[in-house]
Amino acid sequence: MQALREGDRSAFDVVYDLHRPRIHGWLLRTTRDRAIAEELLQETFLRLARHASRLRPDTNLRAWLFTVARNLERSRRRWAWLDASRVLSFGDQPRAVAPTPEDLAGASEAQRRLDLALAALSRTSREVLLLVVYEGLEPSEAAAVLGIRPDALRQRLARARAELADHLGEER
Amino acid sequence: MTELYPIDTSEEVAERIRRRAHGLLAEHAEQGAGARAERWVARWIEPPLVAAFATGLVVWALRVAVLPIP
Repeated sequence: MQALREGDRSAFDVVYDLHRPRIHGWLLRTTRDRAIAEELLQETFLRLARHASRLRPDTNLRAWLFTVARNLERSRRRWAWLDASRVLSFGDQPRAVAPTPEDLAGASEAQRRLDLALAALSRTSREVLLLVVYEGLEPSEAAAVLGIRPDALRQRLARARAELADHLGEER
Repeated sequence: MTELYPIDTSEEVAERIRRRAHGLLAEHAEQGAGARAERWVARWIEPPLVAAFATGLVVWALRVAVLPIP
């Protein structure tokens, strides 16, 4: 952390290589759009580079990165409807929806079913499940990322699990 | 529970982001060095200068007040 705060590139690389696949996977499964996920991934790590010197020594980098990624995604969603070009071009081209065939090719049948069930969930449920169950964030970390209280997180998680179970049950 | 398979970016995208981040780190490190120098001047150079000027001002005011006008 100290090296990162001093702007050390190799310290950044360690953090980048460790967290990039998870952050990207989370963004891709949340946004369902590869181009947007990559754009947000880039902005997340550029913010890390910009703010590295101001990070506190005890910063939980994983939670910090997920919080930034989530805030960027929410901000993008809020402003997207104002972007006239998106509105005008809507429907012109099929959106690159995750997972791609290449992703699916390497996945088992169970993983494929799970990914499809996750895609069918509400955004709120998908978000909390991905953070806690799949990314392995502690409940307190996930609550901080989502900006809610730990008891609210538990309720949201329980609802999301039930919703996922319903979707998995429907597929059988 | 079944694990989700990781989905990483393409090597090209990952490297592009890395290069941009390295550039920003270098840029901010330079700015950081500049800021440290500014803080040092503010801590060690400016206060004695301000104190000397204030003392001079007081001495001059006393002289003007105390010494008789010729």
